[in-house]
Amino acid sequence: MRYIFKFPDIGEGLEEGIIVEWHVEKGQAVKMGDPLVTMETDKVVTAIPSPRDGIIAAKFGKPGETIHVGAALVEIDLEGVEGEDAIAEAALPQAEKKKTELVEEEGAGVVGTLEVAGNSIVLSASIEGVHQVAVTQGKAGRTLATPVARAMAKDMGIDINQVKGTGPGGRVTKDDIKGFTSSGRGLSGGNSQSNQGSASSSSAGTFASVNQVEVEPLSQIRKTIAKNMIQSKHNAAHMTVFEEAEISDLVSLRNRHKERYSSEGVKLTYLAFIIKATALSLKKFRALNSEMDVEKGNMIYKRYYNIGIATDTEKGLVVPVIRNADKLSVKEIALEIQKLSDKARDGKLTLDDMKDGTFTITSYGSIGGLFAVPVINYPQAGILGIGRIHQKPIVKDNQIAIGTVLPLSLSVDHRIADGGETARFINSVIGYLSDPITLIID
Amino acid sequence: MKIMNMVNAINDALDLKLAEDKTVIVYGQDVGVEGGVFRVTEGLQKKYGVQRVFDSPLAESGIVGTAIGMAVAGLRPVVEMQFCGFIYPAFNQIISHASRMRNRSRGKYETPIVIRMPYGGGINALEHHSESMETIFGHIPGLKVVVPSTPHDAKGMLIAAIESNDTILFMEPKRIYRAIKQEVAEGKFTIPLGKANVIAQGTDVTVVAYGAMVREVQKAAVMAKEAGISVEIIDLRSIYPIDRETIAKSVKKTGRIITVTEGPKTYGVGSEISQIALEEAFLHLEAPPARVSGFDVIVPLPKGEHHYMQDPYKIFYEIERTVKY
Repeated sequence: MRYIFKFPDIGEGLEEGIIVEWHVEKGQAVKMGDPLVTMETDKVVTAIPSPRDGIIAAKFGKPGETIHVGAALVEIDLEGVEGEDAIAEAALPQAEKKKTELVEEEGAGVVGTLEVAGNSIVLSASIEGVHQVAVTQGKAGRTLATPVARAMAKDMGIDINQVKGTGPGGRVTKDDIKGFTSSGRGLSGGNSQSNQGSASSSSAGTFASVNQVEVEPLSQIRKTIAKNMIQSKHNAAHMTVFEEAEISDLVSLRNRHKERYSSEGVKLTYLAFIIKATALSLKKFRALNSEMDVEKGNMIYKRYYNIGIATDTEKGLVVPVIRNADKLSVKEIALEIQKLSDKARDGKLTLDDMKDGTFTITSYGSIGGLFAVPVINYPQAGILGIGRIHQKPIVKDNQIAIGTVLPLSLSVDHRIADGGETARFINSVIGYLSDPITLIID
Repeated sequence: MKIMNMVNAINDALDLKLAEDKTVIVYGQDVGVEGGVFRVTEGLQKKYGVQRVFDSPLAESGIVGTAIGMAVAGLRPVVEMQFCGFIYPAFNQIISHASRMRNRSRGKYETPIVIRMPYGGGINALEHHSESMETIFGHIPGLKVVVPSTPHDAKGMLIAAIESNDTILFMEPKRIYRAIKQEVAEGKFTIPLGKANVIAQGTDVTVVAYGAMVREVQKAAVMAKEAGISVEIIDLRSIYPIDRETIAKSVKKTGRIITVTEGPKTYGVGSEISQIALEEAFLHLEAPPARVSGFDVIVPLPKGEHHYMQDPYKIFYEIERTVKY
């Protein structure tokens, strides 16, 4: 018997994936669990295991091709079950056929041939006219505009639903669209003249000549990053606060113990301390560990503290999650970081490694940059950016001294967190980092 | 509740009205002894006698002409045209007399006549047998033209038509006479004529159809759903009067409209609906109204008929084109 294995939904509502590499050939025997094919989805690159024992009878799709969830991936000849099931299958269509023949006789008329419904297919009953029927109200509320205005917006690459109409009955006029291009669209400011020019030409794709560019299709991961970034910028009201933590004590603490832990195979990184400090601070300021459900009109405060770590990989940005960071020791966090970054480097992160984050930390400082304005990992409420640790003159006890300084940038969703709460949160993080002994006391 | 196809449902409606109202009479070619070429009136003559259910000569003008006289005199005739394509000899009686009797007599006389007729293609029939001429009658003041698409609607609408004091062309999509079964309420109920029925809620595009085309649209909507397009389906049910309100409300919601009709394209029902969309919802439209329809030719004979008929693929193509416009 042949078993058709369809591309399963391996995660949360995936729709498609791209074939990266086949691990089997036609005619090859496979065991249940053997990797069949490596697929890139919008979240991970992962090997799909064989669901059955058997021989590969056919495989569908070449590397680089997109496969939709539910489409056939391979056909497997199942060993040993060939005879019996084949007979069962062959018997079916005949029975079906008999039924339709019977039906056709009944439908023959004086003129032409009428289709006759089988007894198995009955339209659901209607109660209209028999009982009172409740009238359902459809929802209106699409932007009003003349077709010519719609066309104009489309040409200019503007979503007409974003334009406020000033015409009769709130209609979006051509002037509204022109006004929209010259005011406020895009973040780049500049005068209205130049902005208008760039808006109308940008949709066409401006580059000098085709020979001077390389065109590459977007990877699934890049598409997802783009979608998430836009979603975050569109939905969250970003506000960022910058601070510096003086961490000389943390530096000496780490230097004292680094070697000892290293011999145990633990890389005692600053990030581990920062994660611990963040998790403990989130417990004190619940707004930063929440999300807003606008549709239902609820705030959702989470009683678990899963810290996502924005990680730079060859393929692009991924955010593996350290679960229950508040309950882990600094050492345990350090080990978890090692495990996840190894997986990220080898492209072996699974969806489970990346879901359910409640707050995110992005540590660009290890590569470079003092301050950055991080984009919130929506729908989370905040993201903490870690800048480059450096020495600089500080004032200590009314004297100039050499301090070790860690720059911090905290972006929050201002819909959720107010300025006071945000500042108190970052002060708490700084408190832990400048007096690290409190990390084990709290 | 009883499981019925459309033929059973129409027979049930006639049976109910014949039993309830002594002024109702049923006649037409082969309607009596044979019970109609499609067996719609089967058993009625036996039950109600040759005085009330009888065969007429092969003379459509005579059938409608006598019905006008009986109606003015107080009866409620329900007459059958054997096929929509046979109605043309009765055209003069319908247009010159039935449709304008009330106007001509300044409201003194009315013509409560129901003219039943199977119409439409898709059954591999001969020339004259597959036509969809609802447009012609929808254009004439003083007539009502209605088309059911399910057994339930057929029963409720026919009872409403017989009880109406207007002359009503009751067009029966013969392609689905037996193709759809449904649980239909027993006893009398009516469905108001002139009301369209939103049979599927959707957000991306409104598709208006009636009669046998509704089922094709439903199939196309399934294909569209797989392609991520949400289709709102309106079963028009009444060609005239036409339910402007339901069409307008739906188009305002979806911003797009497609009509699916069987008759020739030019001056068709689809054109009228498109114009209603323009008049009522111009500022909401995201794409030009589209028509899936027959062609401006005589319906081809069986071998070529499928080229003429609307199928889910043609409809889905237009749905996709309109949504991506």
